[in-house]
Amino acid sequence: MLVVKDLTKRYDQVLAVDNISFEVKSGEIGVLLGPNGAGKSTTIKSIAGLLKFDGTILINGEPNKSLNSKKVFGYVPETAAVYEYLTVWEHMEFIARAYRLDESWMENAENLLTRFDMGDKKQMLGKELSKGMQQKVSICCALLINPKMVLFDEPMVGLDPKAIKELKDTFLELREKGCAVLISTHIIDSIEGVWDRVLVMNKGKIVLSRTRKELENGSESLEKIFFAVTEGAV
Amino acid sequence: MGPLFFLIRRQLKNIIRGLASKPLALIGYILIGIIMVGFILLVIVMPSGAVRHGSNELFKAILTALIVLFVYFGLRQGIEKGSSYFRFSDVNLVFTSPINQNKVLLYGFIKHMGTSLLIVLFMLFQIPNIKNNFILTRYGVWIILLTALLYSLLSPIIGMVVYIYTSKSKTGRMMAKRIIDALAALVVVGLFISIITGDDYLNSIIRYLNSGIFSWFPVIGQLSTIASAAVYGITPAFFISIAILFGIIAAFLLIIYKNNLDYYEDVLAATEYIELKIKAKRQGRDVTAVGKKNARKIRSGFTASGAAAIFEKQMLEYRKASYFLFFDKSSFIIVLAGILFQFLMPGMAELKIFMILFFSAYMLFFFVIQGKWPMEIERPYIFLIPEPDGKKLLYTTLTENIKNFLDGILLFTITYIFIEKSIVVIFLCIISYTLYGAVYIYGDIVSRRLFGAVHSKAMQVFIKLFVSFLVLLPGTLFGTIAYFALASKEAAFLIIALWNLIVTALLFLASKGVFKHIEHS
Repeated sequence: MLVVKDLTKRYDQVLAVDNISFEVKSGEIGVLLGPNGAGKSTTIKSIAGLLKFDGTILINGEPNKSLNSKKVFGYVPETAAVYEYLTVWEHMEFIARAYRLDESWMENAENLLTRFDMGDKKQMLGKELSKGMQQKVSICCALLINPKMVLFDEPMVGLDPKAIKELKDTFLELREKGCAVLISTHIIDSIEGVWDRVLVMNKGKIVLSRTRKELENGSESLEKIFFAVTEGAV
Repeated sequence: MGPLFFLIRRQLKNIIRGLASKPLALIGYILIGIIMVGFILLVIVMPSGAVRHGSNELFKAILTALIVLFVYFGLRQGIEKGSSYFRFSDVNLVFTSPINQNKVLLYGFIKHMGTSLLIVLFMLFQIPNIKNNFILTRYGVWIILLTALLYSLLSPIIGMVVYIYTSKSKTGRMMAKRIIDALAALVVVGLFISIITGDDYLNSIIRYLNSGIFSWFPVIGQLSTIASAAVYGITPAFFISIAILFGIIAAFLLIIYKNNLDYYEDVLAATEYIELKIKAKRQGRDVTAVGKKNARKIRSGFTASGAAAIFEKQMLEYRKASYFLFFDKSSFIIVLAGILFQFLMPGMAELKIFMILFFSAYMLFFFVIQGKWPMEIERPYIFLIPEPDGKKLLYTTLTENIKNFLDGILLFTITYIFIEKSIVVIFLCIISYTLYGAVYIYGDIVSRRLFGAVHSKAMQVFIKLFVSFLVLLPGTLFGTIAYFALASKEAAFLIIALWNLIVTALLFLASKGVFKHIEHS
């Protein structure tokens, strides 16, 4: 579903992402792990089509910036930003129009908002929402399009415990439906038990790529391996 | 475009609906609307040149200078941060959606058109001032508004194109900056040569800004030609300039449209800058300081301890961020405005020194409320440092008092050169100016203590302005009365300075125990 090949992103003299390649298959949850400044968000933003880059990114077999690929992926940014003067429901309506969704979007939107405790806040304006609520609207917008792939950039930040639980369940449901999920985070505990493939980034490079099976066959925990590859400690 | 029009339509509808649910705000906006309409009518019918008849050359010189400054800073910002018509919500929800990038760009322009119209509306407030001092032609008002509209349309397009071509490499950016700075330096050198070779400062400056040199600069030349038609009347050059500007707009749009379909990254930095500016504005902080990354590298350790460490920290901040010592953007603005005021204000020469002091003291208020003290309150350290309140207060406000003193010296030294020849008056003006600053600083503290519960930033500013006005008014009144009664400027400024000193001392005493009574903002 997602193919990243020889991705390089440079800001002036700073090499933010250094020639990385990886894939996330349909029905797979990939996790980009790494310390601050490792290049995770730059990678996610490049995939989301917000940055220029060298290399190839294909989503569903199409270049990531093509309209066809944009139709099938959702994006939950690191910092949620909603329209101050649109209500929660109008955000849903805008997404439905922009992605040309069929009439069933309303039912899906109702279900999503209820699931994330936003059912009673449909008429609230974006400017009236707390940061956590804005993050929930962002998540609902990304999921409303029935995506084949979703990019989550530090999705747990600002969420309450119930929303974190719902989001983790959502990851698993998306996997069940055959959706490819890529989550970027620096908090190892937050993705415990949900990931299928882990990609550890450090200084712009992927320094470790393992499937859950490969890791389970070894004797060390993800946390130990993470510190070993990012800080050289064992 | 359907979904994007939906966005614009719904947001407008919700803004109007929001107003309807707040009757007080609605009344306020209706009043503003009535005032604006009244203003438009007034601007059209009021006579031109009623207060004095400034020459057409002076009019053109002022507008050319403003246009040069706006274009220069616009280009510098374009190189640094590009330009954007978008917000982060657009980046997250529109940029990632399957909507054609050209349509998204058009959506940005439509949004920006709204902002441009607002800028033009606010330009209206300057028209009476212009009409009072210059004789405009029948269509003069509309020509000035047209110039403002054209500039506000052009500015973001130029910013974006400059950014597209310079953002690819640091070397490119540096090169572009150097070229623009070199051109600016040439303009300044030309100005100095003109002043040195001329017989009179003001006439030399006016002659220079009216010279044909500026018509060779693209955009600046056309805008200056269009604007000057407000006093000289419409000539073929006016229409040619409009045609050239529209040609430039079309060509730049074509560049953006054809060559840079992948512009999303190019607007990200500018969008972030806009978001930071909006946040700063809502928090009542200095908007011009937002995103300022170029800090001087200073190697310095701390030698002071206790409350004095706050003073040393602020000194370090000034050394890193200011142009020289305490001389920063606010000093530049106050001094520049003071100089312009000296030359442009009509009225009796004898009273000019009063007007300069009062005008600069009024402007100082807005810099003080965005100064070091409010910034310290935003951080917890000032509350936590284990030192007596009075000591902390003294050291926290010391840098700003010194800065105001030095700005005062600069401003009134220039005034001494051009206008006021009494050293005693100049000295008293410097002291009065510094003490006006002190009253604002300690008045702010007392206002926070008394009205700490007021959450609206606009209301807080209004309260502080009102409190400052109230406590300063008697001294200013007594001083003015003394001038007319005794015909002595020295006596007048001495009274103002003494009154300000007394008020400062009282406000400082009233600030005692301040950290127990105010909240971390």
